[in-house]
Amino acid sequence: MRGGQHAIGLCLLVYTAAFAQQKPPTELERAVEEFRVQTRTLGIRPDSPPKVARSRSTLKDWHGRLYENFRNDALDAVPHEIRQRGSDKSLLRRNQFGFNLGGPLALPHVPPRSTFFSLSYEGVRERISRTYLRTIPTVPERTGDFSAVVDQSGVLLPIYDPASTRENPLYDPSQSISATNLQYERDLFPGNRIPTARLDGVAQKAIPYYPEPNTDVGPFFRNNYFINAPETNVANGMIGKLDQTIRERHRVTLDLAFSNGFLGSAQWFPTAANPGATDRRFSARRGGIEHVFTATSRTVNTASFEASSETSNSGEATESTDFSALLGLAGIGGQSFPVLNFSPYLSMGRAYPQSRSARNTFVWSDALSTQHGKHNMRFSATYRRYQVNTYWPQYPAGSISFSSGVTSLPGIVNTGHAFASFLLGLSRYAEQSVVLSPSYFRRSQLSVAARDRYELRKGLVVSAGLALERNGPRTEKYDRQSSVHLGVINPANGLPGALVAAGRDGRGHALQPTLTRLEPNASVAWNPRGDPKSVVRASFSRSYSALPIYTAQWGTQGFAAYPTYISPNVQLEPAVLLSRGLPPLLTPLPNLAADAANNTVADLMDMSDRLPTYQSASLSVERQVSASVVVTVGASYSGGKNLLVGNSAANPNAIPLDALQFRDLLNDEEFNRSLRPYPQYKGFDIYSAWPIGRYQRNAAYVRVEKRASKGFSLNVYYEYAKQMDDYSGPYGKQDFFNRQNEWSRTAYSPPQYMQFSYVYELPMGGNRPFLRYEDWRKHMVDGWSITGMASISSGSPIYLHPQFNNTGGVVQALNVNAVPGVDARVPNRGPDLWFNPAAFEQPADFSIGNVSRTLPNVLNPGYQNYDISLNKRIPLAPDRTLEFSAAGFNFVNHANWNEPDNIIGPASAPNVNAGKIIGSRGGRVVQLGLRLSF
Amino acid sequence: MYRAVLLLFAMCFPYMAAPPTRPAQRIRVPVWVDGTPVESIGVKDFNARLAGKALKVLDVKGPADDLIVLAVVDLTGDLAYVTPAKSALETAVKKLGPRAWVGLLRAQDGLRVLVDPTADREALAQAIESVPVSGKAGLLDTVETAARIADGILAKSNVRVAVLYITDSDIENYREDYTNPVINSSDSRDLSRRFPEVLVHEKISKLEASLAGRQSPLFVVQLRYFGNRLNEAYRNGLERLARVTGGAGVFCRSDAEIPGAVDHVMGLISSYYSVTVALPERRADTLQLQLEHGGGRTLNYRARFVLKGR
Repeated sequence: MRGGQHAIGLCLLVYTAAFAQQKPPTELERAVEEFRVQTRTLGIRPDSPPKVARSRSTLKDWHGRLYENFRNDALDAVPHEIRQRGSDKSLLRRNQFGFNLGGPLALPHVPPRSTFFSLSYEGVRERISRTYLRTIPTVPERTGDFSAVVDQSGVLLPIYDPASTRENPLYDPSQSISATNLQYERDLFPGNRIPTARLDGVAQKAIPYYPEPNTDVGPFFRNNYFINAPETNVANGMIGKLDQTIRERHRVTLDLAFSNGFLGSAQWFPTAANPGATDRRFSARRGGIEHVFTATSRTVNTASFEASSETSNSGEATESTDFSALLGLAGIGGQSFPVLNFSPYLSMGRAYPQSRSARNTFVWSDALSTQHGKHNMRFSATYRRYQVNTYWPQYPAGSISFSSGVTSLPGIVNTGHAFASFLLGLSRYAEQSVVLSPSYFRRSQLSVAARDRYELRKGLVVSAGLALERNGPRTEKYDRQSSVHLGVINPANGLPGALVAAGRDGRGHALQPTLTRLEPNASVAWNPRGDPKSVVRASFSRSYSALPIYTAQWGTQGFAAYPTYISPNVQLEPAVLLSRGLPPLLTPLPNLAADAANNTVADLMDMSDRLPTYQSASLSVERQVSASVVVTVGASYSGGKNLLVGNSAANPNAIPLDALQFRDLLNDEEFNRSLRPYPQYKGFDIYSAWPIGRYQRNAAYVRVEKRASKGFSLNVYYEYAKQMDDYSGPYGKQDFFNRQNEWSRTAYSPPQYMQFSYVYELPMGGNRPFLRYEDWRKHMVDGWSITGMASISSGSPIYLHPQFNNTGGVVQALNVNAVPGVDARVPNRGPDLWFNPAAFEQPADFSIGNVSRTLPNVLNPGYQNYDISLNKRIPLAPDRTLEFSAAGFNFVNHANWNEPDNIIGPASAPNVNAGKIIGSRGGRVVQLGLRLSF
Repeated sequence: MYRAVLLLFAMCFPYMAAPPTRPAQRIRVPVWVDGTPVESIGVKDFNARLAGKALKVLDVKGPADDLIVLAVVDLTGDLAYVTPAKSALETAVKKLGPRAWVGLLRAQDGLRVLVDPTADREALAQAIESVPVSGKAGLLDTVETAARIADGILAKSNVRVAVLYITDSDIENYREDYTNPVINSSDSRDLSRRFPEVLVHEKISKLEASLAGRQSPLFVVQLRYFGNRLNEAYRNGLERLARVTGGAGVFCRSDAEIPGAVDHVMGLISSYYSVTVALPERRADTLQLQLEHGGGRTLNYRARFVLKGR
């Protein structure tokens, strides 16, 4: 080919000279002639012969890759958490394989090299162990023998006989209830054993579905069930793209993708009572088209449309067993095992045993970029349409919860046990999900934005933009949407708060308003004194996020029913008896009466005009300190208000804290309910959609970027941040009425974080300084590179939790008390003692804790991870390469400590494990890869 | 008759078999001489060595000699960066001496010639002004071809040649997908994308190996700074590609840097010396060359070459 080009060039020169008989061409003219010859031959100039140009659109211009990534437990280190349980195997079989192919397409009646395609496929076949350490009843407990059951301090946990409950004639109401001033008396079960005759029949039938302990990590028989079960993952996906250029000024890109997946979850129990996740099938489909129109060299318009759909199906409706009938549990239908909760033990059955959802998104957008003088303007408009079709019943076979209350000594903590209550068939709470039809939620969003970048003067560029966003509320295709409205009078009690439904009683299709907001943003880039090596950047932005559509069928009460049964007094009476089952649903659905949600945990939507609001500002200085090193120092602020929080962080039906003065009276459900703002409801389900949260984050960072020189490039990033909020953490808020009291360090935000990433092309072989062999050895030494990444972070703030919450249901998440004068930090902290539990104590009954939700100065253990990939490139031909990679994830096999035990018990029965760390996690994972590029 | 024979000869030539490729007998080394400009530097001013053995310096072309610049524009993105780049290129081209001819090509959607190398600055300015800003990024797909054309010129004429890419390319805007996108969203334990830049590295390594066999220096001015990890790898890759040819990469972090960056790179191009060195018959395919200035001036030069055709 090359020889041919030269021949053409020579001929043309000779030809030209012979005919024109001009003076010999100059070197520059010879160079230009050679340029013309070469580019003509390549078919890349306007006067290239069409045949030459078209011949370029052939298979030889197609490129692609074929690859396989392989993982097997034989290559890995046994994870620390598994080795600590005495096991030496963690199953892993994984193959990830695929191909990519792309290049020009020669289509009839279409100009050459104007159509390009790309096609990628990937498949995954995997089986992997999942491990969990949980606590389940001991073998004697299963038969009612609690003689060896102890509390957190190792003292026998007394189990009382609820049938022996009687009023204490010596009770003095003017004094607090205590062991010496009991309101009710109860007898202990003899020997702390429940007689077999007293065991509930349903409970006895359920027990065989429960496994027996298989380990004894402890302490005191706790952490006695180790789950090491395989999970299956099968996936197939494909992405296809077609790119068509039309007469230079138009380009159309078509984009299609699909993916199907199956996730076979790990079995926690080998029985139908398995509380682990259900198997799920996924599918994703996406299609898009984009048209780019270059009107002039200074004006470009981009229009696009994209449609995507994601579906998820959980559980298989093939189970024909009626477990409720099998257990003798009346009033419950369904083909799944009922959920039986008896915390702290692992529950039986699972939520959402069968569900399905489809999330469809349609996006139309158009953006026009144009330049006028020193102004660069961009105008854009985007319309989004969301559809969520979902069938998502949480407890179709019911959920029955048990607490220690009915087997305790009323008013005295650290007595009784939830599993004992279960064996007696005395529940604390029960509910069922009766969902007859799927929901078809819809929402739309329109955004119009304009932005101008203006070069104010040399070295100073200012950018400002404004977006107008219109967020439509959620609607339902058949108006099957409802919520409690806090402004409507409930006919049952004449108080505010009644169920309302969309499309009825003069209401529109939505229950929430349409909200329109302006979102400004501005930024400056400045080279001080015109020095291009330094850039100062500053930016500000304010934005709002719309309320999302969740997959759950939240906000459909009345069309679906959630009958709820609540104990009149958790210490004295059960909500329902297992032996009698759940009462039947009396009112047919739909039931949209204003009082239809009374006596339930009712769905409540926020109908105000609040939207989650975010604001951020940043300032940074970048300095190029040498040819290949750039250092950036910056600081940033970000904050938000009206952030969406869930049931643990907001409760519009909370009882004010001063009601704690009523002490044990609060255990009476009727009295308790009377103190709530909306007493007709047991509670509200706001489903992570109540706009009340706040956060603020201040951070400073340094970043060093060393670009490639001598084959080595490095990027280092360090950040110190302080993030505060009033909602985060696993337990929730103590005080719903004073958000300032909840302002504390964000639970999961480590204050310090550092990341390194680097690439090193080993300096040997080929075009490199060392070991430049010419013989067979060059194949051994050439083409090696190392890529690595390390992340190190400090621990996140510790959150403490008292062992007992004896507040009569007034406080959902109780904080602990500080012991004055005792430092929470310990010298030489380690797994034996990470923090000083003596610095904290369980708050007294019916009082709140005085320590913040998270500790400001004590952190959990930090986290480290080091990944590395060693790559060897083997050229097979100029256009063909084989690349082998061996990647080690956590390659140093570093064990990251688990979080310390954060439960603080009372002084009378302290948690002996508080402040200690049980175990660590992590382990080296190796993946081998082979990729053929052509 | 004479003309007819010549024409027949010329017509037959393309159909003759290409001669067997012969190993290069000489190489062109791009060199920069530190310090104040020197009036004239000649063959005698350079000493070249290969593995300790002296090599004969055949020719030296300096800043005052003929120069062909193949300026390849690869502009697909934000007009805010493109306009200053076009202006800067126009200005830089106008500043070049009369013996510097500039050809203009575009890389987006495949390499295309816009203007043949010429000394006509006005024609170039007009062509630069009307360069379209659309399509898919093309640097990685076209740089080999551009370097091959430049080497072809180098082989056929005694001029200095350089390839200059002006690009605002984002690695995510290529036709070929270097982003290693997630195909199966349900595969939550995919570790293969923990190093997402693997395909960028692979492509760069392939191009680097290819460009190591070229003799024309490559220069890259990237107009826009993308902070994400894939683009960091891309930026490093562009730097590697430029360095392996003896050229340089300049990466702008703000619009204000663009004129200076283009001017700086054009200054590097116009000021480079092309030193032609004779190679011995018996030698390795990869060479580590040593070059010294007889007058003690510090030289920046490309030291390593890979010879093709053996």
